[in-house]
Amino acid sequence: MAAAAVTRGLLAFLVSTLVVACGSGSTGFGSSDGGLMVPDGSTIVRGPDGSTIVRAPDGATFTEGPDGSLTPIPGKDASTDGTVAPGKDGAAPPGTDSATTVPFDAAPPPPVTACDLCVAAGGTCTGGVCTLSENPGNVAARPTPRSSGSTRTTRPSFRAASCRPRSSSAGRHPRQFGFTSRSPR
Amino acid sequence: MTYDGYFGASSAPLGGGQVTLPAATWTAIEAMATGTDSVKVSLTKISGTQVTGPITESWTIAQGEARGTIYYETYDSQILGGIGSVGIMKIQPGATVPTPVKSGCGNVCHTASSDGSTLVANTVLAFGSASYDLQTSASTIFAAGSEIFTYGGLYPDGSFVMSATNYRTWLDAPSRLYNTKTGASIAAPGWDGTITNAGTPSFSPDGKQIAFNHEDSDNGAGHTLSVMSFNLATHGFGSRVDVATDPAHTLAWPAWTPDVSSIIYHSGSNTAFETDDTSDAGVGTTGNVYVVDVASHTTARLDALDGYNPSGTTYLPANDPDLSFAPTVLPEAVGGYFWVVFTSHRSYGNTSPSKDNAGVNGKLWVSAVNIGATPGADSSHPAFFLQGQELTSDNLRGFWVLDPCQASGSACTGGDQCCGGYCSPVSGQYVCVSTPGACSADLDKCSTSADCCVASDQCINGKCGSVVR
Repeated sequence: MAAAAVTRGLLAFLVSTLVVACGSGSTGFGSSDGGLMVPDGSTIVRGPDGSTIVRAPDGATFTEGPDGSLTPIPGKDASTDGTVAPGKDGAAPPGTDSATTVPFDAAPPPPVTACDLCVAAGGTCTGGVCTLSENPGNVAARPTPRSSGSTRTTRPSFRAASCRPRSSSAGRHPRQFGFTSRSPR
Repeated sequence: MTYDGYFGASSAPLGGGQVTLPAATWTAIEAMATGTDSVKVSLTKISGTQVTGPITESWTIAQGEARGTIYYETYDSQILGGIGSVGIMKIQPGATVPTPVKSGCGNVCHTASSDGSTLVANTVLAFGSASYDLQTSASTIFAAGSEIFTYGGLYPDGSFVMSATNYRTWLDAPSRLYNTKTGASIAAPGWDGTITNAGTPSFSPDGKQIAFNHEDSDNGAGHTLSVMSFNLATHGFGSRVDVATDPAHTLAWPAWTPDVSSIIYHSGSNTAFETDDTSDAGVGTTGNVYVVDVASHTTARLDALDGYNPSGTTYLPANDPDLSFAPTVLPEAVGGYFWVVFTSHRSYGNTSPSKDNAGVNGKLWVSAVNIGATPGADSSHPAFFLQGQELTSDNLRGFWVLDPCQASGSACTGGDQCCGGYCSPVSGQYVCVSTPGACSADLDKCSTSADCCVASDQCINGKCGSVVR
């Protein structure tokens, strides 16, 4: 079965053990140029040489050191001079056209790294590798077998005759039902 | 990354045996899984003296945050009043509960514009429909005394709608274009007098084409999906092209992929485009979601989405495929994929049984679809349950659209949220701006792929996005 592709923030599931297996050549972060958007809008991508690059939404890019420090990459930063650069489509500089323009910060806020999120979850992050263990169920490390006591409550299987357009009889639109006799064509 | 979690017996909405991973943990796992990393999940269960497992799966985490809002129709919602309640809900990524949009008898049968600005829906069974402004808490734009808006195909900016005729509207009038602000009909050369019965019409996200069930062609049997080009300046339509025909099934709810190369649709047993076991839909209604390549007219069942292995057997634990209906597609690429929401009556673990409530209650599921897939091949991935929807209600026909755009200066996480098209840091915060920088980040506005900061990104439907091959 193919692996499921899932978006973050949508899933909850029963998990005992999770192992993130990095692709070939990976040292902890990504193994391709696919970027990871972190909550502040920055994106972590893999550089051509395999390095980890953090890219802010304005296009500014940084390399990330093993300790999580960020070093700007010259030539890719369009927002460190405090002004809006002329647009790549030939748009006029700020104040000379009708577009809304605002001064950019000289120093964009530092992006949140994956290690930051690991630590925030209670894990440890060394060399870009996160180790996280938790026991919210207060289960012993070598758990003693015990009963889960799990039973499902069966809900009544019925449906009220209502204004549901497809199933109610009272007030239903005569043209909306009975497909043995559809409208004249 | 390695994660170990130990969970005890727990209570859950339907009786227990379910555990939710802490949000911070899940976020950390997502952040650590990048590129082509796979998340290997191994689960062992201990119950009494019996140890079961481990069972394992491998998952891919898409490199992006879910976006937009899903508007869906619901029945018997506890939030809306319990058994007998009717309404339209919306749910956004990360939400734990849906938000009511409209409720009360007849307030169903909706569609939403891809830009998130406009909703249209029925209001009174057989007698009324309305357009709503989603930028002002779904305030009424125009209330019509007929069903011209019911299930209508909204133009991407919500300014007009192609009315759906025959089942689910039954206007007793030809399908036509209507202004959503005034209700006035709009002359549409090439369509008027040519197309009479168009079911479940859907404009492409670039506004240059429309797809619909061409009920004229087979006296309402609904076996054909057609496409016509559209010119906004003249409201004119080009020649009709039949892109998919299946004499054995009804083809409905066409939904364009953001790159307008493909249409995702359902192929079902019910001529009413219906999705569940109600009296008018017919007990035993079945359906699968398909894709057709617009250029070649090559179709393929989306096996992974529908619950099938490549061999044709099912991987669904309750052995309940062939219960998938009414797909729509988020109108932008996120994390390297297109995203489909659809209605299914399959089981959801020990949370929702197969064919719940005698086959009536459906639920919303989400699947990723590959970008640039080979025509005729299954481009989908196994679906996951959309969190946040109510478990005891019938939830169906999710329309996945962008959020209404925000004015310059508003906080943002991507340019897709901004009317100006760009999201950039200003005074320590990311806010919407209308001026491009040196290049466009993911989800920022673009004209061509060369505009995008990442060389491998593509400009799809006017926004930069990565593509997973």
